[in-house]
Amino acid sequence: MARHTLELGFAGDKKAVDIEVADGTPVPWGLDTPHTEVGERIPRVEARDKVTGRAKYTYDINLPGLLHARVLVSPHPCARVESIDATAALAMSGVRAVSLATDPDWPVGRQIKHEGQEVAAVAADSIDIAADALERIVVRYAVEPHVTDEVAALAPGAPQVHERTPGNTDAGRGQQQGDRDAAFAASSKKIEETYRTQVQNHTALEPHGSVAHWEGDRLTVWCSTQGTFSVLDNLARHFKIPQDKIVVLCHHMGGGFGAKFGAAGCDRLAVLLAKRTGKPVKLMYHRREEHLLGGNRPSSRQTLGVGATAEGEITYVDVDTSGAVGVAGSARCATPIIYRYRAANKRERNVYLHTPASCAFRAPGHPQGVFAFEMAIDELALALGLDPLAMRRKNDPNPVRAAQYALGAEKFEWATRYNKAPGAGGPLVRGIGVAATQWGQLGGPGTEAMVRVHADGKVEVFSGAQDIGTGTRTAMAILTAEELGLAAHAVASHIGDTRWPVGTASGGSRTLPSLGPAVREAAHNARAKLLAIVGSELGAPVSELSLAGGHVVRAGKRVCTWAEACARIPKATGRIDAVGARQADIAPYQRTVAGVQFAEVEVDLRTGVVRCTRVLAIQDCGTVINRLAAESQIAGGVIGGLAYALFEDRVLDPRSGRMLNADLEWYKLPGMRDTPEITAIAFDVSNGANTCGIAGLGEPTTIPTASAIGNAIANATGVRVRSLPFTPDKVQAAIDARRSR
Amino acid sequence: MRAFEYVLAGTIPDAARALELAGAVVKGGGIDLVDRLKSRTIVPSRLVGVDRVAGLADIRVEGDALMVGAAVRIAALAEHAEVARRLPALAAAARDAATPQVRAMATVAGNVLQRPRCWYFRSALEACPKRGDAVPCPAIPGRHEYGAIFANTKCAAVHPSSLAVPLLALGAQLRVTGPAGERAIPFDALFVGPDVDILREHSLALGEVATAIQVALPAGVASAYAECRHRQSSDWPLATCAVAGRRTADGALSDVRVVLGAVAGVPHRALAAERELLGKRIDPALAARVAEAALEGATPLPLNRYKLAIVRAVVAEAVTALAPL
Repeated sequence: MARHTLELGFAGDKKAVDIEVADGTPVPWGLDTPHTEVGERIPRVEARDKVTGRAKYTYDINLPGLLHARVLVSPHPCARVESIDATAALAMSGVRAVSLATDPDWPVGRQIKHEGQEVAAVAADSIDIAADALERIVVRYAVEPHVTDEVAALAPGAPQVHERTPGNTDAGRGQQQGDRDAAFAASSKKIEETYRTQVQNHTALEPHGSVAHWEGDRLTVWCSTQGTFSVLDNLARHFKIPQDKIVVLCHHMGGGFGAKFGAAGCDRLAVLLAKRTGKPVKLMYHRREEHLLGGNRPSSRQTLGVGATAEGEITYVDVDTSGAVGVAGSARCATPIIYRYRAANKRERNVYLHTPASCAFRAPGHPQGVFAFEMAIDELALALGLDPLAMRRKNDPNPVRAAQYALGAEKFEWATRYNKAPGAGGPLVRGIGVAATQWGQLGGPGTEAMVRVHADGKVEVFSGAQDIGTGTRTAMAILTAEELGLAAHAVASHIGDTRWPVGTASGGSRTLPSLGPAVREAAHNARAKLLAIVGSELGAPVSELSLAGGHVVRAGKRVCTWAEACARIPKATGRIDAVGARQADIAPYQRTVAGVQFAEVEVDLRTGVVRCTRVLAIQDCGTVINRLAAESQIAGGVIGGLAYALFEDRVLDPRSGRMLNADLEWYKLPGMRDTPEITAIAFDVSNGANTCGIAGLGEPTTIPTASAIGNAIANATGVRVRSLPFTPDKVQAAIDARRSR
Repeated sequence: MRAFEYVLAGTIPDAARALELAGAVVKGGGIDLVDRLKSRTIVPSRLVGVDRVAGLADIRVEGDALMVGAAVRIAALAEHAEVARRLPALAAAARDAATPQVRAMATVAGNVLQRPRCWYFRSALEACPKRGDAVPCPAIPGRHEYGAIFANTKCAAVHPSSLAVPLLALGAQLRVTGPAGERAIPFDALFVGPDVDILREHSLALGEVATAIQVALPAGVASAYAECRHRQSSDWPLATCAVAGRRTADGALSDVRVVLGAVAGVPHRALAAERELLGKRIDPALAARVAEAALEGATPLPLNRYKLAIVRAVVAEAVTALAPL
């Protein structure tokens, strides 16, 4: 044990913490730690593979004798399957097996409570044969009344989705803090408004799916997943296979956003059909199925009451939310009240519909909750005659955000670009808006890594976890290289194979804060082993040796090169293997990360068309490991938030309950011309939560974008649109409503 | 998509012969067709590829007419210097259509003759009178936010072609070859609205193949095009407008045509707007009056009233673009 003083925070708020460092463990990085690789701008190690097509996604896996499978899904939102006749399909040339919802071993749900529920699957020699075979499967449905509209679901006499939720609703968590009556009485301005957000589908570019391959009693599954180990666990339990007989692989994956944590219906069906046919089977959802089965973010209807004193101090926050979860899920709107306040009161309820289940989606609950909250704070500021940015700076106690507001105000030229005469002029009007957020995820124990140093000097780092797209391989290489005094590109990263060390699922922005410290510890242990070898040969105490710049260094002098050091690894083994683990949290500077975003929009007052022209996103993610990847991830979050704000919307037919835009034509995602100029700033904060100071980044960056855009629309036009997405009809209606006042 | 036979025609007569098989359909760039094959809303026996027919992808000036081969790609039309110089409305519509990938493949005739993008029409799960089902249009009581605001009592689908709008404004003709020989169909007579025949959008007879689009190039012809989209990348316009006419000495237009796109089952001539515009010196106030007149006869549905303001904006923009300098 050694005592160590850890410098945390950032230039604007430094904090020194005394900690104990166990012998042989890496000393946690602090604000004053110099780095050579960490924090630099390092292109992804697999970038070339990805742009040349060498990177193999699950979709690309092709094995000898591979069969192709498709699923047949219910066109009805609510029905019972009376019978399924697959005789004609099985008689087709090239059809190898079917699995039906009426089979005893059907591995998916049997109740049809939403459009898109799987009822059969076919494995065939080609994907076209499988698709033709689906048309020859005759399913007799007993169609039952459905309800797919939130208002209709709550009306008396509505079809009931579940017996356990009479009236199609139940209450979520409530929360009450402070003396609400006193806070209300102390308020000189009060706002109460209702905000709405739409259902947003995950819409990963690579749909869910697997390639399953049995060899005897051993199963290998390539799966498009954000949790290789959770897929392994799910399959082992479902098919009662010993864990050691299953390998799950995910070398590259095309997006998950929270909907790919475990083995989905398609994954289980691929395993079953592979077992039944004795051949490898690929089953990927097609786009329509991906829309229906690939997950969604619940809608919300949120009534917010907020008040403030005449001086602009926030007094109370009332939040009353409900949201349509589909057949399952939680409509919880996360409304982190990041400002000082005296009383808060939250109520929430879920509404059940005959629509696909909602599930975790990039910062679950936050984009919708923060959309309403940050719009309401803006409205309160305007009602008080205060500048919305000044209102936030006055009420926000967080020192990181305080610095981010100041940085953003300067970089975005808030004072000069803030529209002093909203709605004047035109037809094109401009405005800017701001919104703030927090996120609380610092990762945790349970993730391990292995670093391997070969006698020829090559270095490899291994994790069984996957890369959801954030650049995990590169971050692992950077952390390993930093510890070994090498350049990041000298390290080969291997991920996405459950035979390698156990790793976290990529959810809650926890991959790198969990995996990074494990990698660092593994590299640290490899370093100790190598220096012990070198030290014993040189007769030097290990404590006097270090690794830097590709050399072993003693007392400031280079002793030998990395290659020469590795050459001393005993021939009998030829390499060093060292493992490391993410240890318990040390001394977090804060348990949350802070972010602020600014948006500029141009609104056409004639048509109601909104274009977002610029976004500045400033995001704390603890210690920045790869600045290039961090900025890319921030930009990705902003684009996701922009899509939520302006475009994405699941459209259901009011009568059939079916999704009408289960494609990428009418389910609108932004393209290049819709993407604003994005300035992403990864705001360095030394967070002592772990030995690397890493905090989560993936989710917070998407949270405040929609509210910043909504606030910018208000600044441009002088009217408030309180419903997402900001489509031309809604923007026009708000402008017209003001004209007619 | 189900199995079909594919015939790559070397000449137009070859194509016409190949089309004699029941269920045979023409394939140009395949942009519209492949979508419908994949959704299984069309199950043809044979595809007859015509996009490799010699000369069918040429753009030529013949006398005082521009001849655009049926298989000219939209990208080639957009990049053609003579088109940009003499028919700016057509060039603009070509430039703005779809995506670079689609423009590189889609043919001009395919664009003009493509079928609507209505999500009910395009879904094999939905019954649709345009596909021959004996049901009323499901979009009218359903979701029609992108639907028609004119002539929409039987069908709410809008005609999706961007190019058809300036071509109708410019008085173009479609040249076709079929079992009965060659003929030229004026764009005025080319499109068929749902009130006439809900099953089709154009008047080509069975077995007829488009060979070229012919646009007259009279002296003094002026044209402008404007469109409004929700999404700026690859989206179907909410409304488009092409205005064409001949400039007169006093800053006005004669022989004027005002055509709206994405507002009806066919490209829609706004006759009241043409009357308002004809012979008057163009200024912003006139543009606003023309825009208002363009809405004469509009019958918006509950979810697409917002398109009225969009039409006003695109008409005013296209008219204003033709104001004297």
